[in-house]
Amino acid sequence: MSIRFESVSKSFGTKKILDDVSFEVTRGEVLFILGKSGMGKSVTLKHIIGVFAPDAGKVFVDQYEVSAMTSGARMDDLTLVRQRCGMVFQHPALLDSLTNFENIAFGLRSKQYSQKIGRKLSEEEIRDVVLEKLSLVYLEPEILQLYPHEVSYGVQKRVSMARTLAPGPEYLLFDEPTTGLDPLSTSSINALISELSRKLKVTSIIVSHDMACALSIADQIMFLDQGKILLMAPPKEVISSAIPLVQDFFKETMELLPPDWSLEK
Amino acid sequence: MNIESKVTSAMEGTTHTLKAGVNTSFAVFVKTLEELGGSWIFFMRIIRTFRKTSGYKEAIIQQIAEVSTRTIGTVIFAGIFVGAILVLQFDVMLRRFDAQTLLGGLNTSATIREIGPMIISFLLAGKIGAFTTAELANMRVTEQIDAVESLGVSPIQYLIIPRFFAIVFSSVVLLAIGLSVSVVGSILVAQSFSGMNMYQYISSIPRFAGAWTIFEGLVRSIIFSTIVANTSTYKGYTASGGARGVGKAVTEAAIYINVYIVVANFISSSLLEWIHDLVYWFISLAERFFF
Amino acid sequence: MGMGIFDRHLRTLYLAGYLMKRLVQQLAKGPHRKIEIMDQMEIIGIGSLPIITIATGFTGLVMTSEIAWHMDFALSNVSMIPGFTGQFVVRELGIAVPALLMVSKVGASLTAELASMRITEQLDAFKLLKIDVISYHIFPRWAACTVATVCLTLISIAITIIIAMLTAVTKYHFNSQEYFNTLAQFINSWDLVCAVTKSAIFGTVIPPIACAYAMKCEGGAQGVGQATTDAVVTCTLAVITLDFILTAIFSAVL
Repeated sequence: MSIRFESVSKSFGTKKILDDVSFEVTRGEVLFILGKSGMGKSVTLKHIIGVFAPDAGKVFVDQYEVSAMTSGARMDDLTLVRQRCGMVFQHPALLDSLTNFENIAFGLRSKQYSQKIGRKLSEEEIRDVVLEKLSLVYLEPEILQLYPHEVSYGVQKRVSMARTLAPGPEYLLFDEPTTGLDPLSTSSINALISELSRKLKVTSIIVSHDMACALSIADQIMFLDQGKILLMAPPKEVISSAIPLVQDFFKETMELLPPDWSLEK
Repeated sequence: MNIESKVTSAMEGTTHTLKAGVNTSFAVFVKTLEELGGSWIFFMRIIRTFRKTSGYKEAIIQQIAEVSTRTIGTVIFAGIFVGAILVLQFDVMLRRFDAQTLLGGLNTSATIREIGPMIISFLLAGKIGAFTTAELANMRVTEQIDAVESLGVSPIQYLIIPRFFAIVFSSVVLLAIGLSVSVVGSILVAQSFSGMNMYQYISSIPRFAGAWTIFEGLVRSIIFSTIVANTSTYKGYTASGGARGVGKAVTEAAIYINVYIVVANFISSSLLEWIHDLVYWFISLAERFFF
Repeated sequence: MGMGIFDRHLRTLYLAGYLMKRLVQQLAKGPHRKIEIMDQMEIIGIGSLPIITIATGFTGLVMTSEIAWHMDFALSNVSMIPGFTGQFVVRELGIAVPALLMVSKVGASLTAELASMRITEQLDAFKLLKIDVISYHIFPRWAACTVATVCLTLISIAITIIIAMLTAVTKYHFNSQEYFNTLAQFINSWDLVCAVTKSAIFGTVIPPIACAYAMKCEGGAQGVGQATTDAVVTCTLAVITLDFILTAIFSAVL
């Protein structure tokens, strides 16, 4: 059970964003994808849920070949994949016209979800699930009746996480979860991601700029540059890597970390 | 500068302008073909999905309520003015030909068949079209549509179809209301501005505007409403590029809707004329046959 | 619907009025920014040319058939087609349709452009650098839009009449020479003055309204979309209303 990329290439116009990329993420792992801005990190994530189709190569989620499902008749199968993978976008992307409660419950009401579990959830059950996920992200039930624009950005981010968690996906994909947040929110979101991965035993793939976070909670770190994988290794190896870009990243990160920081989890 | 160089630079300037004009026209032509193709595919997707799935009634009705309440005021306002403008124009022109008695008929016929649907659809292009594009484009660039998709719900089913059908239905109804207001408003304007008696005005109407006129107006309304619905949802759904992308999508939607309406006006005109001739040919044939 | 919504629009129109005042002042006192105006003329004028040509071409085709049908049906007399068509085009259709197209093309793009600049904080940056947005950005576009609308209207009138003539010649067996002679009888220079005035006023009114909505927009991508929509709607209504007023004035005067 894993997510697999086999020799995936993707270009947008003349720009090659992914160049012969191959890797595998096994169940229960936490993978961080790091790299400079615009180097194809988000694009990689979107390949997993079939938003993009590769120009060459294949993408697998468990036994499903996602890259073959992106058009035509196979598009219905895409929902099977999407139910397994929950994606948390960079911006909360909550639906403005629905309350926070309705946003979190969104995935639970769809026909596909009812098909997946074999029946339709009652309102009570939906409410239970929503409250459960809400507590996982450390939010109070009071915010449920409010609309997204009535709560702070940090709260919106947590609500969007709860929304993704509600259908109980086996893989969690995070697209730059802490970019643009203040330091306090950043560390609480990081702690939350770490806790969720451990607690729920889900496989997490996190696209980020935040190397400090990566070093603390990742099982594997992958560096993307110019569409190629520079390095994919556990944090210990990353620190001692000889690759210039990785060293630069690490050096900059070290400047920002507190002096007593170490690799102890 | 002497005469020679002045002439040369003038010629250069003209050539440059002409070249720019031709280049722009060609680029626009190619882009329009791309647009048309994309719009058509999108339209087919909507129809296909609508036929394969169900459960839209509530969502569509809710959208109809929203669209109508937003737009009704503007449509009535525009209807009155459009009718008024045409009355004034036709009055002046008919005076020249000493044919003022025809004012009522001519105005009503022109308003319902041609000009009314076109101008009021221009207005709907803005009020409904631009609004829908803006709404959907905003959802697209803030990744809300991606989020909906990633949770296993089809954005076409959830977002596009209710809006599409609501717009078509509402626009037709709103156009009907607008045209009625236009016609009634014209009667009043004719009375106050052209000194024409109400009864005089109305008397010439039946000659010009009958069941066929209303049929034409209805057909045009349906075609224009579909254009507004399809183009606005298409441009909103395919927007990209942040806030700038939203602005671009809305601008292009407004332009394309207007252009499509004008072209569709011509095509439907020719088509309706042809159908009209055909129907009357059949009727005359039947008459000869049975009498 | 309610006073709250009107309030917002009225305040934006007030800003539009202020912009207009400033623009006219700049017209009188300068700087005239001739180069920027020329650039904008190319973007706005030439850029709108294809759309106007296509639209008026098709409108012309429809117009002749319509009017001819009415003439034939009502008076069984088609000799009046050139006069009637010509008059209608020059006085109304040839002016209103290009104006409404300019609203969507130019009005929408001006709003979208300026609104994007506002929410990406470019306008604030301008303020810090002591660059006057109205003088630097809006004025050239305003001047170009006014002139372009007049030119495009004249072009569109010409195209519509030519197409109308072609239709009359092919369908109703007119002689082209005859057509133009009859036409000349019914259209005089006063009609052209009327056309130029009307189109100038339409072209002048669009940029201030568009830019006013852009300058008052707020809220990121959604704000841009909202501002553009509102600008298009208000400009369309403004054109229709002004059309009515000007038509009333011109009919009374003539």
